[in-house]
Amino acid sequence: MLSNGLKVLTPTDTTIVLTRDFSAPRRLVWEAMFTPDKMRRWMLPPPGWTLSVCECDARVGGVLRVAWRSDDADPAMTLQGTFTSVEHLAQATHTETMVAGGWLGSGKVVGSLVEMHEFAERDGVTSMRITQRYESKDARDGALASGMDEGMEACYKQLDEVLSKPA
Amino acid sequence: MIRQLSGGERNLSELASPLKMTFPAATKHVRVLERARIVRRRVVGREHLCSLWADPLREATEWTEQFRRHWEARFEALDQLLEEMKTETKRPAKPSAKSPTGARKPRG
Repeated sequence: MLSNGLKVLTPTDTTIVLTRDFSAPRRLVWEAMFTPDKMRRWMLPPPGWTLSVCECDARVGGVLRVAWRSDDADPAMTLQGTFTSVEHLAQATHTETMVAGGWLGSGKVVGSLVEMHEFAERDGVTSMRITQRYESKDARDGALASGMDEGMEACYKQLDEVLSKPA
Repeated sequence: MIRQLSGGERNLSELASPLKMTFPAATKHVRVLERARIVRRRVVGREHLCSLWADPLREATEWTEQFRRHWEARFEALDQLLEEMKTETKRPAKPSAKSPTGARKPRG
């Protein structure tokens, strides 16, 4: 396996930069990143959730719409955005607003960011860089913390089960 | 709970109420987080003030590590998908399709 390790950097107070190499030409990486039936394969939902809507039109003005469903809510969480800048196979930037319990206008906005994807290919290996720009330092730090929340959600579920049982 | 604590020190009822948790349930959760050294607690008078061990604003490594793991899981799924896509593009689109110009390239 090539050394393709993910790097997470926080170059400024409001950004997160992710870099990762993929052993595939960028044409395929682009297709995997922005084609709905391919996105469904890697946009892993939190435990107990399923991806119910996935639409993506990677052209300037094109729309991104993703929704997750849980046992309790449909949608439990949505993500909506618009592509603001696209250079086919090289760069794509879209806005992104996460809404809990509904779509924009009907649920609670939990965060907004601008996400830029950049692709460079060398010797059949594609380097992808994702730059996430948050509205504030608090929002950026919250996003870093949410990774922790998701990672611990399964633990919490088990914990809740344990706690709900009489000793 | 952790998200709330990332905003600073909170007492137990502040942690419990937005989660619609009872006070004893919140106490149990905090105790587990304390044991895992994720949360620490100090008692001031009758108040139990909880905070995160690692200040995410300064010491971001552990937090970044969790975020990193979440994305790494996605990217590993992407790796697998890309392997499948590479195999698909090597094969002719349709098994029955005639390929007069040999698409097969010797490897190596």
